[in-house]
Amino acid sequence: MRQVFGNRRAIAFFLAPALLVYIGVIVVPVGWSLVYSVFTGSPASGFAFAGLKNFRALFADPTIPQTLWFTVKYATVLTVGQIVIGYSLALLFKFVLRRSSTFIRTLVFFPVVLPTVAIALLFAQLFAVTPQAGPVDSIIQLFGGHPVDWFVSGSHAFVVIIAMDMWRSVGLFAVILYVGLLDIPEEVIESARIDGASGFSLLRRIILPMSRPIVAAATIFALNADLKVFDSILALNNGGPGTATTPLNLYMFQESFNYDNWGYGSTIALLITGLSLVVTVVVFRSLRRDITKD
Amino acid sequence: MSTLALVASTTSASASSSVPARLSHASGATAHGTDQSSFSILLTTEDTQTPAELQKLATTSCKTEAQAQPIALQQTPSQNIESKIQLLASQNNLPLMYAASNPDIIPGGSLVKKGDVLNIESALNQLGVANDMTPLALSTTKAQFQGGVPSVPFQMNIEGLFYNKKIFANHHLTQPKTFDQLLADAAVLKKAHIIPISASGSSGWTISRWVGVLLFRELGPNAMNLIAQKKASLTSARYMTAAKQVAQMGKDGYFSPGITNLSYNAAVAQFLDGKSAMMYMGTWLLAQILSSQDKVGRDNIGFMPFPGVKGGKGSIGQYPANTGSPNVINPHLYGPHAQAWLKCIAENYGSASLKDQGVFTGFRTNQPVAGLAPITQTIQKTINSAKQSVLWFEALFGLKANDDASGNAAALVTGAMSPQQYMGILQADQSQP
Repeated sequence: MRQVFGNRRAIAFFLAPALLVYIGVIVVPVGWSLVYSVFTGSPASGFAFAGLKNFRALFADPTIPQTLWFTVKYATVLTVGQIVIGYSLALLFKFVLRRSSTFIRTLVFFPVVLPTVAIALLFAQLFAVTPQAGPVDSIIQLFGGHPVDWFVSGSHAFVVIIAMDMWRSVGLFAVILYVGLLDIPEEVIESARIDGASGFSLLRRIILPMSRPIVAAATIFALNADLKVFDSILALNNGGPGTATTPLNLYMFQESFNYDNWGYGSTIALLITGLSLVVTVVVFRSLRRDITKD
Repeated sequence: MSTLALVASTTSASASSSVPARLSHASGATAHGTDQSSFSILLTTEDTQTPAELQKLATTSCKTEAQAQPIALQQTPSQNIESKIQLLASQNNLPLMYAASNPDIIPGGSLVKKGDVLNIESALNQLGVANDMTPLALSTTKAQFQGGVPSVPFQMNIEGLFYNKKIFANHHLTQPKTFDQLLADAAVLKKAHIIPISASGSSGWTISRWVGVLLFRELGPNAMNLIAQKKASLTSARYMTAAKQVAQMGKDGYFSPGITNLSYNAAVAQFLDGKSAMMYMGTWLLAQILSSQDKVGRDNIGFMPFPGVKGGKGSIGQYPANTGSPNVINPHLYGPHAQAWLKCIAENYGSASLKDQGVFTGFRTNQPVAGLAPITQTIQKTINSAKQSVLWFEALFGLKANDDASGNAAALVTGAMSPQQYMGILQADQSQP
């Protein structure tokens, strides 16, 4: 084996297919997009070199701070929810339900396999006020409350978006974190119990530190996915009203494909890439602590 | 829709290997191209009338043409049509007939520059059927496309207020002649717990058209041309008035409740189910009024012009008009078979559409159509007597302003956005080079 991995030709032979695919589907499009960001135009009208015009437009565009703030707010709230609720569910599966958790895990995971557009349409109906009041407004009215138009403002729509995406995705994180908990050796937990640790102290001193790597991975995974939110909001309310719930990804799509500003759309894509990179590094660094030092 | 065979046309379009040299023309190409084996069409999914009528013509008046070149139809939601057209154009792979966006097909537009847009006026002239396009359709098309005639006029629509005669009679209301009267009527209806006006937030143009038509009534038929020519600003006080009036109507609760996410179909159903009294809409609504969806009864629905504004420069007789969503012919695939199709459409489409769907088109009705519903007759008389047409609010807007006018309209009437913000966004979009 040592001989094989010491042989450069062998390394190239094994790596080449994966590397070629990676270059073809990741590196080339990213590079291509980077090049587009210094051009204006569209495929039909042709492209013209624009220098830094798109970058200047990015800083002058009043919609950018709004969409950036929404994206960060959405990703933060959703990620915290996904990790906290997902971790709580994982603890429930591991320590309370134990072997009988299979059915509950299947139920919790079920929304993950549903098409996003179907979920968005479902939530649009759940929170509808007209033509018929949806279940949520019906319950509000049942308790004497006034009907709420859930899509009338950005703050109202944000509640629906978070509820929808939480329901859609929390099952995935519950399962990922559950698998992480399964990796903690039973002997360690038993030893801790013998030493008198139980309940919250067991969680704080043993379970949480030992599951930090999987929590870190899940957090990075969640944040990056949430920063790139697109389809659920597009299908629910198209980022409305106005651009009040428009994330950067949707704004990039609109600029590129609805308004034929491929260059400017690529510049926004670059901003999203930068944002994802910064967030990943920050999260990775803050959670990459040696658990043996605790 | 369900009766239509959806055949992928883009693949067959690529079969056409010999693309003739491109000819650019200020308002569209006139070059003759090479026929495909099929009459490939790419339209929006929302356009149910045009494909249905073309399919019907293929089995009746245009049977010979359809045998020589059968229809191959593909449809895409209007939200995605622009990107699809852009990609197909960049691959020189556009079908014979396709739906396009206004800015791309006006003189100097990207598709015109590429030579992908046939000049319909010249084509009809060459085929000897220029007279089959009505003068109103020709003038409206030229106004709509800044002098060019890039689109086949499959519709001839005017816009105004459809109203429920029964509700009006029950509340002793008459057709309002002024905007103030309209507001007074809306107040009466609101008090009687009837939704005064149906409109859709997800199809926000059903709201933004109110801003536009008020501008035409207040400032005259040239109001939006001045904006397009950058000689006036939407944020100036005289333009702002219209946005303020529409915002106030929203504040007073005159539009559909829960308007923000209310779909176009739900808003139309609300009106046709008799739950609301009025709806500002184009005469393309006739197809739905005459179909089984109409719960109110077609005879209980009336059509009136949008009322005038006291002291305004516009008049009640100026109807916003259009020739339907643009349908363009690709000159590269415009061979003898395609020419035969266009000739047959010009000669027969007008009568067939009026007879089958009760929809008016930009083509003459060469065969008399009997047994028209009263509402159809009213609109026919109105179209025939219309002395002057105006465009609609977004007609001369760029793609972004068009989207923003519609996308922010619900926010304007729910108070989530101020009139200043609304008009400011549109003006900023328009000011972009």
